Amino acid sequence: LTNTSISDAQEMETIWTILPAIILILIALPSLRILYLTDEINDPSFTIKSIGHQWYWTYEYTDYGGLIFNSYMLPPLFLEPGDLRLLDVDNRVVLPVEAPVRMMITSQDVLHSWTVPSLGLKTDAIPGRLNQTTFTATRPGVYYGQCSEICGANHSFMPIVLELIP
Amino acid sequence: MLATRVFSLVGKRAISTSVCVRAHESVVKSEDFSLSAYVDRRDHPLPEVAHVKHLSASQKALKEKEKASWSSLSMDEKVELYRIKFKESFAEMNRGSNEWKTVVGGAMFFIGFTALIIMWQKRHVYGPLPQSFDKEWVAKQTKRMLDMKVNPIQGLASKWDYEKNEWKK
Repeated sequence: LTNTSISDAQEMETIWTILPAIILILIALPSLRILYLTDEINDPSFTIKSIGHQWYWTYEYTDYGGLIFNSYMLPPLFLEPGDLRLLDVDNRVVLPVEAPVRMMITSQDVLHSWTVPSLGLKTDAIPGRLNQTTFTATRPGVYYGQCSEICGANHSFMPIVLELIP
Repeated sequence: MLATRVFSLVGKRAISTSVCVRAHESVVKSEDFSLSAYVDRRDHPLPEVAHVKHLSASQKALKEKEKASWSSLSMDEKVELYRIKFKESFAEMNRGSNEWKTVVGGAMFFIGFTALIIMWQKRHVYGPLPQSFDKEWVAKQTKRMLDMKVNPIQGLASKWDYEKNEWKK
């Protein structure tokens, strides 16, 4: 019951350690290259800054003039029947349809995350850093999202609403 | 010998751990756990010691008879020899019990008790549901989402038939 035939095989052990390592490197390098290549070239029409605070978002439209406003969640008492509780906000982010948009996302205090799942968007808002995400919406409508990085007591109460107008 | 070394470690005031001295003990002491013990375990089929340590006279006679040819032993004598060596047979040691009924019954009791606690909580602890759960509100909300054509490809609006103004069958 001793292991005479399954020990002391140094050559084999070396080969089946080194060879898979080489194979993995050969897979990884093109994969990373392709990852960065697939980052689309968008040529955005305009840029919006989205700044996360505790517990609301600030949007800055500074390309053509200076429009800056805050977007707070509508408190339940302010809702009209038919509104979406915990999702509707006082000021929506209004954008044109079919226009490539660049969102620059950052935070004023703690980590947040700017998310609109129905457009496939999620970008972390990190204090001291500007993250960029680009998108082009093709359907008009209202798109909802919620902050996706725990940021304190009202983390669940700082939604994001995009209003895409044709 | 090892026994005397152990003896000096244990200390003069303790009972001797030498096996031959202990053969005359009848009270279990704490040193017992370092000596071979009898166990009925199906993964340890041949215990280190026999079950019966002190043979009666008839048992001693039987042990002498065992030294001769075994075909001369009767069935009862063979069973007696087995019972000297072993406490329980495999069938006895592997027997099932009714413990499962206690366990299942206890689990169901506590689950039921938890249900009672939850019912009490709902009645006495929790506040009312938000307004947006009211039937009319949900109806208005759904109408608004359909008007907005929320998720028209595979989601909500795709389940609504806009021509006939009803949910798709």
